[in-house]
Amino acid sequence: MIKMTGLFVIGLICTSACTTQPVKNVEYFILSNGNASSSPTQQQKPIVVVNQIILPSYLDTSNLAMQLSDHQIYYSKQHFWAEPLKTGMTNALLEDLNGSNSNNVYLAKIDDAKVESPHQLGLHIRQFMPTYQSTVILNGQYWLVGPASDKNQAEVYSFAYEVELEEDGYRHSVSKMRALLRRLSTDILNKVEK
Amino acid sequence: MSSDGTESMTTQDAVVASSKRISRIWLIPLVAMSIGLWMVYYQWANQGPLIQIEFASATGIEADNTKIKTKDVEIGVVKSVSLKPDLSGVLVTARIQPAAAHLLQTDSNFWLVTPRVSLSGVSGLSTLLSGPYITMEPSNSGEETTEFVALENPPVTPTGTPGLQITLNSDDEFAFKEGDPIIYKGLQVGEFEDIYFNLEERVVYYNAFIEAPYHKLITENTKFWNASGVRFELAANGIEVQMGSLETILTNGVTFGIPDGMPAGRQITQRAYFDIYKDYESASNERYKLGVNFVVMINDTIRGLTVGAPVEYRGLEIGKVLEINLPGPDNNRLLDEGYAIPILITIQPSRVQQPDNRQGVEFVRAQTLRWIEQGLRASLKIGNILTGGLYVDLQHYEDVEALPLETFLGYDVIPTTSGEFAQITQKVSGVLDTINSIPFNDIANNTNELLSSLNETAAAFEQTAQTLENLLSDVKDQQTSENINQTILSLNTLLKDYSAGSKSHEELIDTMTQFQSTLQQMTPLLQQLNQTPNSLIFADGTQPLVEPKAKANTSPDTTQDNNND
Repeated sequence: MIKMTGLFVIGLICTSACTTQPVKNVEYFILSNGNASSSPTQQQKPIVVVNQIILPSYLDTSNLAMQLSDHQIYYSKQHFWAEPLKTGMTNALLEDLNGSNSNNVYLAKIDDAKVESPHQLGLHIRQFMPTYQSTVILNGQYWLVGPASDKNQAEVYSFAYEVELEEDGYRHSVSKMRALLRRLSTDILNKVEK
Repeated sequence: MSSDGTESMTTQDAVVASSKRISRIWLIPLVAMSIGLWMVYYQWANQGPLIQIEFASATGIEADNTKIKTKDVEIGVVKSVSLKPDLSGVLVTARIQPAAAHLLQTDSNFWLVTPRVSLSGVSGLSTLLSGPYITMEPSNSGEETTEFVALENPPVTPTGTPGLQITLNSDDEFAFKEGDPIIYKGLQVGEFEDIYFNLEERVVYYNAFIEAPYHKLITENTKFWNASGVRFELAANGIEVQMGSLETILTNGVTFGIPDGMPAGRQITQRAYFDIYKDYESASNERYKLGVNFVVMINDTIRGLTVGAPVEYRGLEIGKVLEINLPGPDNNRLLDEGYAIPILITIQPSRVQQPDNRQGVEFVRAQTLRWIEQGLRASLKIGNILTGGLYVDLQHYEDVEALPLETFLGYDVIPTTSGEFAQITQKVSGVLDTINSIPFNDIANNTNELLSSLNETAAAFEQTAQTLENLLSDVKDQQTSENINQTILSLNTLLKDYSAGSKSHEELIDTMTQFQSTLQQMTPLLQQLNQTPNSLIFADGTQPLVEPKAKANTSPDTTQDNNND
């Protein structure tokens, strides 16, 4: 019995040597925090359909990306988006656009929703990530299609925002990225409401 | 003192006696004179005869300077040159050496040797330095004479040359001159010596010489024909090019031979007369001496038909055309409608394996007349498309009408049929007439009616087919459609189970969402495994952490992941 106990202890010790290293602490981030200040009023407002955001393929991943140099991207192994970035950006934008100041209702274009509107908003993101220069950048184009616009015509605007990081870490970077999206939605609102 | 002597002596008187003797001293001149006389006599007695040669002109001849030679040996010298009283020539008097006196025969020839350049060659170049001289061609025949007429040109053939003298004659347009070659198989075997034109006969006679041993080639049946230059002949058989040697291309010339199929005959040993034909064909055809003449009355065009054109019977040449548009009583009716052009042809018995004599002629005539009754007809046919040359073709036709035998100017007439072109034209016209006679309108009407009937039939058939199809579909499709409907209903039920909002659909979406979520949760683990596959077993605390830095720390340094953020 003692022998058996000894063998078991030895086996346990050996097995403990093969214990797996726990996966490092993984952090998940979302862009929208759900604090939308949309008014719950039932007013009839024109609908603006927000088309699916066009993201560069290097950003269409669950890893948080960071620009290490002009031509180098780093994907974090421990920091992930909790939802696809495209979805997160859309949700965040919709939160901002549908704020209390908005005279329109901004709806994401979903195939089965069959929401049709002559007003459409399109977004093409080129860069959206923290950089090695301690900034977070967001640039790209958005375009507005109104009822009077021809199908082949649209108002196209380019944007490029950059904000400095005040703290280390991805958590702070994500908050800055969210702030940049807010600036973008503000600009869009200014253009649309005008 | 002498007086003293006289007184003392008896004076003797001189006896004067007349002397009759001639001094011997005179013998010397006498001897000298005798010698002189003897010399004169000797000279006179031993000098050659004086001859007189008549020249057309005395070009280059000088008295006491111009020599007379034979075989390049001097035999005399010109003594004087004088004009004939009638100014028709020059008389040259020459002294011939006694040793050569026997050569002065009537057949001896004299001519002046001067430099001569001709197509036949160059001669007398030596006289450029020595000056002209007179050459004598001696002869051992004839009588002795002292008067000669010089030749204008040197004789072509030296006297005594072995060979054969012949005389050729020609009444054709070509002409030869002295020195022109006679060719046999490319070799020059002789040449023309001199020319004589017979005004009465209007025929040119040429004396020619065939050198030995080629003179043995001259036999009874030898024919001579022209071989001058290059001869192009556009005949009914096509284009023919004939040429002799290079020399005959530059000059004229004749050649000779025995036509194919003829025996050589006996060899000619003495001067004989031969005709010069224009070509081998003419020479060869000359052997067919006899022929039966017929007239062919041609209603078509005779353009392309020439005298000498062949007359063929089933492809074999049996004669030739002798004359076109034979002069006859109807010649002034040339412009009348239906005027037939008479063509005189000859059928030569020798060409149809009949004897070349009267019997052969009669046989051919009788046979031809019998054939005419049996349907022998003549027609003009194109022998060569390129040249358009025509020939007379004799053929048997079975479907021809029997025609009475006619004569034209005493010649039997061979009836004719239309020529090839006319036949083609007639056939084409016949075909066109036939086409014209086809009742196209009636055919078109009938065709329209037929098509209408066909349309009605087709409509009826279509209706029948439709009825049949309906009948069949009623029978068949009832069961099939029931099956299909049942299948569609089952499919609809199935689709409803999986359509949006259905329970199955929601369950499927939930499952997929859960799967996606699980995948997302596994992503860090998978990435860690991807980067460090052994990380599940072996801990690795040295993995760098890259994360954004605040503005104070501009460089994105890598730090050890100790505080997780």
